[in-house]
Amino acid sequence: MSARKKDPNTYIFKVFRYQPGKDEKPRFQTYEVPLLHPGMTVLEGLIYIKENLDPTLAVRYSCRMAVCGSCALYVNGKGILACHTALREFPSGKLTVEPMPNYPVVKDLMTRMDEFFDHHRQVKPYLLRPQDRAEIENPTREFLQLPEQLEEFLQFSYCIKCGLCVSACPTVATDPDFLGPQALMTVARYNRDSRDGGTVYRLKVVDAPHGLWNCHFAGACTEVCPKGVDPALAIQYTKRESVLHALHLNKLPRFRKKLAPVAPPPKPNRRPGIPPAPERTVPEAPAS
Amino acid sequence: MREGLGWTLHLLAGAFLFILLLAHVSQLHLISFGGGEQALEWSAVLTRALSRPQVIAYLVFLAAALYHGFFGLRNLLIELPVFRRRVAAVTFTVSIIGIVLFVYGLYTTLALYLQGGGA
Repeated sequence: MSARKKDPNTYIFKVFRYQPGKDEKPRFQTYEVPLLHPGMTVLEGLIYIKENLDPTLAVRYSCRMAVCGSCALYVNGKGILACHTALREFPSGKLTVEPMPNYPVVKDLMTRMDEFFDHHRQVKPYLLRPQDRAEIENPTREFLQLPEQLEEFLQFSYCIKCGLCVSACPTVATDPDFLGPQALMTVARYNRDSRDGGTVYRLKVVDAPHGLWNCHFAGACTEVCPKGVDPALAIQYTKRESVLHALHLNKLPRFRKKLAPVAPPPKPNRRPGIPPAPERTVPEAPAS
Repeated sequence: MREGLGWTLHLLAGAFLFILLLAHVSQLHLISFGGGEQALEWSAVLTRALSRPQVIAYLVFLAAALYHGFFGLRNLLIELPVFRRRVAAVTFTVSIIGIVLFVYGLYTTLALYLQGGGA
C-alpha cells in the first residue's frame, strides 16, 4: 500500500509488527484507514484494521473511554491513550503507531506489564493501619476525612495505571530495576492520605537503591500522563518525606501525621429538631 | 544506611562545600579578603597550616568533598548496567577508597600541624 496520504478522509497507519520468538526483527506495516466519523479515534482506526484489513494485528483495549488504561501506546513518538486521541489530531494524516517503550513486547502493540504491576504491588497500594488492624480487617465504619485532607492526594488517585509514565521515564530506560514513576507516585498517594498509617513501611521499600532517589526529575512522566497526574511532584513529596524521616524531623508537631479517626457510631437521633418520619401509608411489601 | 539519609547528607555536604569553596577562593585569590600573591607564599601557607581553626576547616572541607564526590560516584555507578546488581560491593569499594583518602588527608594535615608546633 502507498504510504502517501491520498485524501483528507484517509489516514495512513504505519504499525509496528513484531512477535518475539517468531519474527526475526520488528518491522512496520502500512494500512490505509478511512475516517468513519469526525471524532474517530486512533483505537477505532486500529480496530478497523483488525476487523477489515488484518486480523493478525494485536492490540490491547477494553473500556474505550480513557478509564482502564489498556490502550496506551505511542503515535508519532508521543505516548497516548489510543481511545482518547482523535485522528483529527494528526493533520498530516500519517501515524506511526508503536508499542510503549521500556516494556517487553508480547506481540505487535501489546506490551508485558508484569514488572509494572509488581512494582505497584511492592508499595502496598492500599490503606495500611498497623495500629488499627481490627478495623482494617473487619471494617465497622468509615474513616473521617475533611475535604482539604482529600485534596492532599486527590490528583494522584486519578492514575489509571496505563503505564505511559514508566514508558516515558529515561531512568527506567537505563535502569530497569528502578521502581518507576507510577509506583513512586502511588507512595505519595497513600502516604499523604490522612487515613493511612503505612508511611514507614512504604519508605522502607522506596528508600533503597533503584528506588526514590534514582529519579532525576526529568518530568517526562508528568508530560505524558493522559489523566493530568503529576508523578514528578509526587516523587518530590516523597523525597521530602524521606529527608524528614532521615533527620527524624517527622516527629516534630509540624510534620507529624495525624491519623484520621474512625467515624463515631451513628446516634439514634443524629439531628435533633427534625421530626420523626410519618407512619407508612402503604403497607410494606411482603418479603419474597 | 538508608538512601534517604545518604542523599540528605549528600545535599548538605554540597551546600557546605559551596560555602567552604567561597571562603577558600576568597582567602587565596581575592585581594580584598586578604588573598592574592601574599596568600600563596610558603610562609603564608605554613601559617594557615599551623592555625587550629584553619586545620579544622581543611578537615571538614576534605570530609565534605570526599563524601559528596564519592557518594555521587557511587550513585552514578549503581545505575550502570554492569554494577546495577552489585550495589553493596560498589558502596563498599567506594567507601573504602573514600576512607583511605580521608585518612591520607588527615595524616598530611595533622603531621604538618603537629610537626610545625601548631599543637
